[in-house]
Amino acid sequence: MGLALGYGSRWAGGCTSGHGMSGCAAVSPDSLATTATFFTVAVVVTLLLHDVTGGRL
Amino acid sequence: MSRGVRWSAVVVGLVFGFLLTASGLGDYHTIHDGLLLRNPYIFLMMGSAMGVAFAGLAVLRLLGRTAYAGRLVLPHHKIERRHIYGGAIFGLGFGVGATCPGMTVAMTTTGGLYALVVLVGLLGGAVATRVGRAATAPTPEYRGGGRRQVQAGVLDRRWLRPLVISVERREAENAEHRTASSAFIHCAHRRHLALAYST
Repeated sequence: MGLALGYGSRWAGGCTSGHGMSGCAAVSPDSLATTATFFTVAVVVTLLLHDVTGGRL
Repeated sequence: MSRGVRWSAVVVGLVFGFLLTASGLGDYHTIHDGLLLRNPYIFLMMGSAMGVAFAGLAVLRLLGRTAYAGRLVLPHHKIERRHIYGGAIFGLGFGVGATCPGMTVAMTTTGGLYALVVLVGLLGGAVATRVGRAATAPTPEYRGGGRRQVQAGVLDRRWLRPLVISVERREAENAEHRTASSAFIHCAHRRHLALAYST
């Protein structure tokens, strides 16, 4: 998961702080898109994992 | 990098790290419950952080310049495919690991082994991006352009580079993207490209 974080943040050009906080505060379109994408995917992945593992994760 | 920039970076970094830890975002369960939509804390936290940053930037906009870094330059880029793909992969890591890069660095002081493991993966992933780009990017000058912009300093170590987010670099990247079509012919020169990435 660390790999995914590193790879994704480099690819998208920022992370939760860079895009999520700084970029969105500066109302940069790419940051808004990136933040929306990673939060949506994160929630979906977490919920899926939760279901698949029967609530252990 | 001037003394002012360096010292303000140290101070801001210290405060940021302290607040991240103090706010409890370093706790796996806080993030996990948030992403399970059981606890709105992380979303409220993001919202308030954005609000404060927005207000701060409004003040800076009025002033028109920063204290140490000259004219105020705010990022404003159009959406590209890499933002969606990168965001999706990031979201995957975010969802599984319930931590983000900034938090991981802060967590190395409190989270023990878990943060260290993620940190290794984080750096590995950042390096993997470089390898991936070397194979696909049509702009061999891509990193070269960024390098020239980043002045040699404490943070300009190769192994630290993934952690350094610099406005200049993003600007350079954007400029490179604009000239990407003219650089397309460089694709033929694989060796040149490999060289550009390895130096």
